[in-house]
Amino acid sequence: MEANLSGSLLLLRNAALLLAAASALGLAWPRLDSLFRQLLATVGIALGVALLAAPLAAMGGRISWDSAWQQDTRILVLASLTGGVWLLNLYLLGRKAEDAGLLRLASAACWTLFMLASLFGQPETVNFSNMLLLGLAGGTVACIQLSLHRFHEHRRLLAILAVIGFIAFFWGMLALSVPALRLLNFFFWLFTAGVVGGAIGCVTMRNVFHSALMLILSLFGVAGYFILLNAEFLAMVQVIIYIGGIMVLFLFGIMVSQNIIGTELRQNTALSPWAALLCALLFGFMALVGMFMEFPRATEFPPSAAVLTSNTQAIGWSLMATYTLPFEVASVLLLMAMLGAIILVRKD
Amino acid sequence: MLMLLQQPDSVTLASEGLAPILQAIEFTARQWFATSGDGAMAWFVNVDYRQYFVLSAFIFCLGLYGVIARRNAIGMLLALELMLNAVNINMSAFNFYYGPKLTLASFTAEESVMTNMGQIFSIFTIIVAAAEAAVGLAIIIAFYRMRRSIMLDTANLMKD
Repeated sequence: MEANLSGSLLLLRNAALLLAAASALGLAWPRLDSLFRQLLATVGIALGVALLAAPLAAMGGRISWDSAWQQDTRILVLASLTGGVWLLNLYLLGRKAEDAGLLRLASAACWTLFMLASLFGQPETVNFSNMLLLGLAGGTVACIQLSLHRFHEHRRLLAILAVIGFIAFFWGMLALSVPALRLLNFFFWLFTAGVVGGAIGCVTMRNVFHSALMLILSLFGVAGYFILLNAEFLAMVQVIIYIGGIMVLFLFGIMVSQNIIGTELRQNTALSPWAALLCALLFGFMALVGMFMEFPRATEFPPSAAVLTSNTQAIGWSLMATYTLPFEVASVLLLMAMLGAIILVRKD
Repeated sequence: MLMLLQQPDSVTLASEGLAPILQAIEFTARQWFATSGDGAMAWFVNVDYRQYFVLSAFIFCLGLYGVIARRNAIGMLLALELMLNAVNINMSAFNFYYGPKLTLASFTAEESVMTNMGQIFSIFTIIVAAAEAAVGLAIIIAFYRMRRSIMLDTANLMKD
């Protein structure tokens, strides 16, 4: 790696590493930290923001599948980013926020980790380190934002940082996601966080209204799964009908019966420990089956690109040609449900 | 760092105190650094079908727990929606991974044919869920008018 660097870049990188080491020392040693703080308080914030802003904005455009990212440029971006983040953190350490020091350390550690990790990646493709770059950009901004949350005088800086971070993040994401069927697992776990968190919240919240809101979060995650699984029509149906129709119906139902959402009401039956045990056992069994049963693989996987296009058209053909009778039966079912609901709630 | 770059070989498990945890961390770090680049990227790209299976099993069991344990009728209906969604995830996932060989045409035609049977079933599930929500909420509202409560343990009209 040393051979790829020109002199100024090497100098810059060494300066960044020196700065990182010095500020780590400063973080560890409060007396030294105050010295650094007096030194850097005036210029630190401006320099830090400038150093942070320019490469972050450039980064989103630079990471793409086609354009090669030169090693020197990458090191430059890396070094300036790391230096900027450390400077900013060093400056912010002088501010009064006792509980936020850990977050700042975390954001600085993000970048140091990233510098380490990026040395192993291939710069011209989308790989581990470039993905980490994007993730850590968001993570750093979030950490700084969290650590700043009680400083009213920093609101503007916060907003700028957040906007830059999010633009870089989403721009980079857009560039990364141009070829479909990439990064599926990353998005899988992203959606899993929403689905599992929403589901757990749905069955444990005491307030039924909050429970319904958590279920909506979970359903959005399921819509994300449908997109990952090439079921775009189903994803749209999920959002429009499930979330937009059924869940809003639930929310109306909760709101018209007002005194059911008291948190002081007991929400679980006496059966609930046994239910938890039963469900844990059932899940254990199903997970064992899922993990260890080898299903026969499909002959051609992933399916060819021609098959994958126009999911909506395929669904339409199937509904109108192959599954016509179930489709009609379903419409009759909906009609019956509508009539039944009207009759049940009729006031007489 | 050079030590980390070596390929991870077979490890013998330690069993004393913190040693297994440290060993696991070291093993993970070795793997992480040894397979950075495309190897680590593969983790971001490839989804195993078992992930969907286990996840939907988990969601289903959470929903089942909610249906059994909830005292609130609307909460029970919400948990029921969770169960239906778990089934939907499973059907779509299996359609995605096993769609090409499920049809008769895929055995007779030259290239494999993508079926969307699982997605169609998911659509019917959503339809049934809509009907269930409408009727269920109507029953709950009627019950609420009668008892001024929707707690399910007060529903004992048919018992005596």
